[in-house]
Amino acid sequence: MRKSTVGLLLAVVLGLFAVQASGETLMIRAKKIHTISGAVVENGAVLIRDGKIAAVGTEIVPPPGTPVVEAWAVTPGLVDIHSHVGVYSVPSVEENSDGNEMTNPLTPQVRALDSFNFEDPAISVARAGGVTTIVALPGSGNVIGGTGVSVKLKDDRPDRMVLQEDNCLKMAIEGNPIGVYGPRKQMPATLMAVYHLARKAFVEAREYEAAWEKFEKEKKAGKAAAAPKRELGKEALLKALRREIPVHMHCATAAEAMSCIRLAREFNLRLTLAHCYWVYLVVDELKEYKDVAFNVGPPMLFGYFDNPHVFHNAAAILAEAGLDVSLQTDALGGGQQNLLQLAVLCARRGMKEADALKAITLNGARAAGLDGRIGSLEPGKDADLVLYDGEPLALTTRITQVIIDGRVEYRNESLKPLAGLTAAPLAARPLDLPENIGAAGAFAIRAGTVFTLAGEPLRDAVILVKDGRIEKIGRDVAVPEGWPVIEAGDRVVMPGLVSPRSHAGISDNWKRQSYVNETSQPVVPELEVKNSIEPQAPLFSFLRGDGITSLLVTPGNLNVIGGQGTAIKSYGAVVDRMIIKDRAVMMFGLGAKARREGEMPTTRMGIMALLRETLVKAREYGEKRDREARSKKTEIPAADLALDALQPVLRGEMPVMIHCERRDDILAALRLADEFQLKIILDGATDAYKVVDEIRKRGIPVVLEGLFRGLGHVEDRGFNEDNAAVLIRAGVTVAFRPDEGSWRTPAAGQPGGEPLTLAAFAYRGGLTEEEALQAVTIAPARIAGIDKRVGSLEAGKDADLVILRGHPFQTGAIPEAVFIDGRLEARAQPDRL
Amino acid sequence: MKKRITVLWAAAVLALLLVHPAGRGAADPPLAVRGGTIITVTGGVIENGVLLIRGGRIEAVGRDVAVPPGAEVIDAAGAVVTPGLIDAFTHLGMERPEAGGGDFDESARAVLPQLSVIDAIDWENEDLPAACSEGVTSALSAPGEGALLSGRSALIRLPGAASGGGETMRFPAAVHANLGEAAKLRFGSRNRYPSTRMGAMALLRQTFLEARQYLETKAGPDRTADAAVESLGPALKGEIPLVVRANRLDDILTAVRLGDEFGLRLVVNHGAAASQAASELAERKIPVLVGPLADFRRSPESAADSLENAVRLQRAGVKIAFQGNSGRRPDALLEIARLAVAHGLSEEEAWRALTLNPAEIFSVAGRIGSLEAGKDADVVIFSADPLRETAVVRTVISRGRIVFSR
Repeated sequence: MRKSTVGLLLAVVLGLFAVQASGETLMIRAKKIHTISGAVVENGAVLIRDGKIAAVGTEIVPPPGTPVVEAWAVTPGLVDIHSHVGVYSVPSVEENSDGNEMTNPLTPQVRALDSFNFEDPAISVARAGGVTTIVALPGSGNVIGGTGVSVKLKDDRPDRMVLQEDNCLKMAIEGNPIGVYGPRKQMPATLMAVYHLARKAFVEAREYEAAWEKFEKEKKAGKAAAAPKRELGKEALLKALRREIPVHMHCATAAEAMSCIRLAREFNLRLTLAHCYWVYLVVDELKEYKDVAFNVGPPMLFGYFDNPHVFHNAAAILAEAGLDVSLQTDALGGGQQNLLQLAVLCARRGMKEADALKAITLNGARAAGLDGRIGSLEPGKDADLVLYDGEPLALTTRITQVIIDGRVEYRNESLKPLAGLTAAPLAARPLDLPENIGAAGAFAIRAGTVFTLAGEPLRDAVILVKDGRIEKIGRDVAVPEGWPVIEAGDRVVMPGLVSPRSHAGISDNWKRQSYVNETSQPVVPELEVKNSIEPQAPLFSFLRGDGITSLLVTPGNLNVIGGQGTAIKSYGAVVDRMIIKDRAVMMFGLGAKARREGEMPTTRMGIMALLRETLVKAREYGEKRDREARSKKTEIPAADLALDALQPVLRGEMPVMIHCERRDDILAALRLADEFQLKIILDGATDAYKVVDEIRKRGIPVVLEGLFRGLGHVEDRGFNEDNAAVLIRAGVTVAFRPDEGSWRTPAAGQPGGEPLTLAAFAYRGGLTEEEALQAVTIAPARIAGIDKRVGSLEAGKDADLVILRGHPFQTGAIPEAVFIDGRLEARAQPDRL
Repeated sequence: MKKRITVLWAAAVLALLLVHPAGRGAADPPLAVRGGTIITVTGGVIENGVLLIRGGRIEAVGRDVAVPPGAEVIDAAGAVVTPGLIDAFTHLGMERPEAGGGDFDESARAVLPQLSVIDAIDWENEDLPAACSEGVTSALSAPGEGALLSGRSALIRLPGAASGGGETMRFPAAVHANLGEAAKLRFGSRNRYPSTRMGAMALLRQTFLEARQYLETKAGPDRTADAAVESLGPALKGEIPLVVRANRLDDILTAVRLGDEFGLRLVVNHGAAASQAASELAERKIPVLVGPLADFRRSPESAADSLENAVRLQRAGVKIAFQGNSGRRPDALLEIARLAVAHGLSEEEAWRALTLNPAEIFSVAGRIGSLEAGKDADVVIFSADPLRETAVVRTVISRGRIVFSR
């Protein structure tokens, strides 16, 4: 071939490759690009043009002038196909509750589209969490709840946000409809009635279709025919029968799931099973149903009657069996932003990282019929991406940008560099423990890193444990002859975690009753939770497994004065032997939750007036008793147990834990403390950062909770992720209270359920390693008044300690062994999913 | 003696004719309003002009209109003369709940478009002349927010303090629907459908679907007349609008979607977030009834309420009318217009929204809504510019008769 021809050809070919930017282009370069549909691309780029992905790879040449963004990692935009954002919008008041048309168990005609509040404040919060597409669904109050709507969470006109007006038909074959209609003496009052109603609806839809076909035929044949009445509900059901839209069926037990499958088989429906709590129990049966999609959540871990002290990672089990698994937050109000955390929790408890990432992207997209557009990074798909400053499934990674349809919809403006971490690798193999270590009276632990929380972390240290106490701890400590030694290798040892507020043992008894709030009357200082704690409750096993060795168990938030809490170890057969400090705190409740109906207090001013009145009465009572005792009169006023209980509070000996969230409630708590010279602890304290100086100058500690809750309740309006950092920087003692879940769905399966993950996120939010770890160990110990015994690893203190697989802020660093008073009380089962 | 009796008789006859309740007849002497600032709405502002009224109609308006001999002259020097105000949404004439009744809120069932305000208007209700004395010569009297489809409204002429003069000018003027909180909370609290926004829209769609089928197949042998479904015919044919009360953005867009699906002529009632949907509304020529102040940010769905909504909508090309819901507060209509002007709306547009716009929306612009020859003589004389200064109503003329005079 002539040189000039070759040259011409080359020029043409090169010209084709040097694509002229015809629209808006953007290139993202990253160390790790998780395409999801293919291999991870390392040190490559994604090129975006006109809102679509133009190319993914390592050899991309962008058009001149294309802006370039750097990231550590990239994933597709996250997809949640089971959400109630928008249909239950913030604030969570009746006026914004539009998700359940619970006036008839069968409402196929309603569409979540018509309830969706495009201005729900939860949308922008979710977007900042990397969630770019959701399917907003009707709730599960009905057997057939209506159709769902798929929405891109971008800041745009509503019509540009909606992807599909009718994405799926929502159904529930489960107990929820029974709970709604049974008490009204309407069908369904049993699960068999639920199933029957669902079946009947599809049968009648087929009849409707037949009637219309008959009419069309007759009309064509020229006969005079009356059209059947058109019914929107039946037409929605026909969409499902014709497989135009999938059916999204809410189920919890394995039996319910099988009923859903049976129904779907009878009517040839495209099926997604939602929640699927205990479906894993029949995973072997499910292998026959590869066309069924499983959408697991919102909890990720489940226990059951078969063995209540053991939990399972449902999504991981199903994924291991080769089934199609996606994760859901089931969010309403706050929580949609936590989809990524669910994948982190799954990975933490044994799910393969690739499966976990797929479960929050492509699998959900596919189940929802959206995989043509979203769910993976492939040329031609929508440019929905999330950019991270680390591995997406690492606890300490932050999202830096979120791009939807090629436009940056969220940029993290507060990316300060994270503080340094003590280096500690993740152990590759499970921890070996010497036999009978549980019964040994004395033993040693040798570990690569020890966080004592009483000074600098120790490297290659030895801890000697004897008679339930730490005898010695240090670098060059000799192990006495004959003592068994736990060779923890490179692992991390830290103090047993302390929960500053718990309802373990009182929240969920065998009858599913809760003992948390004595709601019969607002003021009950005389009641003590100690008299209701059940140490055998399965919840204790789970909390121990999470590394929690002591807890401050308290009454709830619904009383103005709720009673007395007690600090206990998390293991024991009888509560009396578990108590570290009895009558540790008195519980007060302020704000909306303490308001009552029909009797005082119905308002905030009523709450404060009642509190003052009670404290004044208690003070007068105390003074009178003192006078009588001094004057040695025989006539002493009859003991008022309630007012007696308040005496240590008035003397400043028993601290008062006050639950308050809003700024004005916090200030009211401070006012009360000033007036009666109470020693107080603020609990909840959503708005504490707004009044940090007032808190600091009084030396008041703060217990923060609901750190993953986000928006939702009216009192959460001031929710701010930086709360902990602001308080700690100002010198306020801060402790984190983990959410506790239930014995069927343990806390570690929910965001914010483990103190270690809370500490990791607080570190990610700007705290130092030490500050974050203090908030789950020594700070709560101080708040509960038990720091002389627990909260740090020091000679003389109780041998409550946790051996972690690695640094506490690593996703995989689960507690491998937990000791309480020198006894092995919890052990990780790493091979069990 | 005979002459005096004749004169007396003549005087008596004349007097009778003058106080005849049935409007100014052709035989009556003409009425001229002279001087002041005449805001015609369609023909600009005329300073020191003359508005000539004869036979209940405006005969002429202009700078150089001659006052015929024998005409009754009202001196309007220093005053502001405007068309009678039209309140675009009220419950006027119907007994209010606070007043021991509550005739405009039938909330027993969700779908009641067949209800007619004509069956509830009490022409002797004192709210009517009270509103008239504040310049409101006509109003849409409409059903309330208790039901999903709450009934049909009438455009009425208000009777004045001098008895009589009330008139139903157009019925049905519109059919009314309520999206958002009101209906769903009321029904939801009784576990009745609809208890959610999606339930409300589904029920609306199903109802219109049946109404359309009914319209198309009425001739068929098996059609049973259903009052609800039948009453929606005029709306489906575009003869009357569907007025939808909607405040949250998604509720307004849901209403638009309904209008698109069934080819309805839509009007948004209240519309707190309407300015955010301005382009959708302007595209489809959907007007918004702005107000009333009593509803301002009344509940979560009206959080977007702003005193600038009127000007924002108007600038985006959306036709606006004001509603004062002048029941409790007869001056409520002017107040909302005043505030809109204070927050940016031009006076010219404010007057339009008080007069011609509502007239056009409810198809009575052939008779009222501006000071033009041929239209009914509904005129208000204010002591000063009521949109900018403190002013009182001096005179109200309805169909050529003075029905209020201070």
